[in-house]
Amino acid sequence: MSDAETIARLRTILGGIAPDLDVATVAPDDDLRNDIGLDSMDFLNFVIAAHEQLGVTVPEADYGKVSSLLKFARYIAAH
Amino acid sequence: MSDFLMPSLGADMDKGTVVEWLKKPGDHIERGDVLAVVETQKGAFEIEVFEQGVLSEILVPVGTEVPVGAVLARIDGMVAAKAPAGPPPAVAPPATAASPAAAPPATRPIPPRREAPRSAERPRISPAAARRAAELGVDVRGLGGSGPGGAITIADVEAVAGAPIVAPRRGFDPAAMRQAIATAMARSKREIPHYYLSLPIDLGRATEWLAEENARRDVGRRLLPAALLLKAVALALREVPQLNGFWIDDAPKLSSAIHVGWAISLRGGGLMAPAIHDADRLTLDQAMAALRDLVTRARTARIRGSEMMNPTVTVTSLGERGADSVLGVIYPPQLAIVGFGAPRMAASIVDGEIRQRPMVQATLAADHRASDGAGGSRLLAAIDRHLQKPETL
Repeated sequence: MSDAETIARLRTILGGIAPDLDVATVAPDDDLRNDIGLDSMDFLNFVIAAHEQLGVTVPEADYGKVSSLLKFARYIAAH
Repeated sequence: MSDFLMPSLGADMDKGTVVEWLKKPGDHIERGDVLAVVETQKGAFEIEVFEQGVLSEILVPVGTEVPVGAVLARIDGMVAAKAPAGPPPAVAPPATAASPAAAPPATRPIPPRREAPRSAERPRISPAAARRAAELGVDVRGLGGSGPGGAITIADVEAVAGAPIVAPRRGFDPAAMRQAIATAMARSKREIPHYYLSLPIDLGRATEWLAEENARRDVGRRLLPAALLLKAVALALREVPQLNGFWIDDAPKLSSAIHVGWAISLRGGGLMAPAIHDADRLTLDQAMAALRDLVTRARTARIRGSEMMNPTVTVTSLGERGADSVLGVIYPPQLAIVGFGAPRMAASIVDGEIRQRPMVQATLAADHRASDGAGGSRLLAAIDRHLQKPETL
């Protein structure tokens, strides 16, 4: 899967956990916490949903490596 | 025969609009079933019934706005059950308060609903989770629940269904929400003589314990610091009961149950603080599941009426990216609001040495009619003590 395809899937997953967010406006390198405003609960839900739907397990210590859709896609490609 | 009334979902509500009936005349209803969806200034809420019987008559059609206390429907009751304890309906705001234009009747299409699968032995499941299960076609029989008492939560149902397919927030109007907050907060500052206390708390032990715990947990069972804060406050309130309850008719009405209103900031604007019932009796895992479930439902307007009716205290946690501390405004008629600022690394003196420690500012705003600073100080000290023993929470 290319980064662009993974980003598209991650964006759909993000829409599922944050239905009050217009995910189409989330740029690949937006910081999900600082720019998009996900709180720690939203972020955990995002990591859980990505685990369930894409099979990727992100340890808590790696949260900094998946802080944007692009970084998350590259993390998935590398693991 | 009994009446199903428009409930008061907080000090800021004096009227509501029925936007959906989930049962029709002749339907059998059980305690805890969601009968109707009611729209208020704070959005749409699912209104449950607290008895069982047969819905005999619907008096208020969809799209009609009625005052709090109006009879919405009649129920042929078989076994009357007590509604959850909560403050009596709030006094309507003074007539001089700017009254927002009545919400137009809902015109959005209402999706068809299927009944949740019923088995002879009904699993413990929240009405909202049962509806979600019906929407997603999930059979909840035999499904393990992560909620209080093993109850099946929305998160459990969605985990089984695979993809969370979440409906957008219903009936949310940021201007009306603003008005609701204005009404409640103005009343609070007008009527409640607040006093404020703060205490820096060392979160080092809690943070280390959480990191170790989460490292060996599955993704879906990870804990957040919020669960520890929730549990620590609930346990501390057992020790200082004069801060848990309501101020009604010039007297404190303390509550033996501890229903923590958890302040949730909504991205569309505004906030709400629905209750996590009996928070002191939840395990940490149950507290975490309850928080996840509540935040998810707040984002999708699936909060139940009973959760808005009876929080006995409020907790507001600003999260990792917030300000250092929050001196809260009490949500009337409650007696106190506990606040947590963003945890920060700070210099702290431990055993005579300057150390770098993750510190959080815990604050209390309390009603001076009901308690004094000594009691308030004991509450903050108890919260601190519980957070130093995270393994016992």
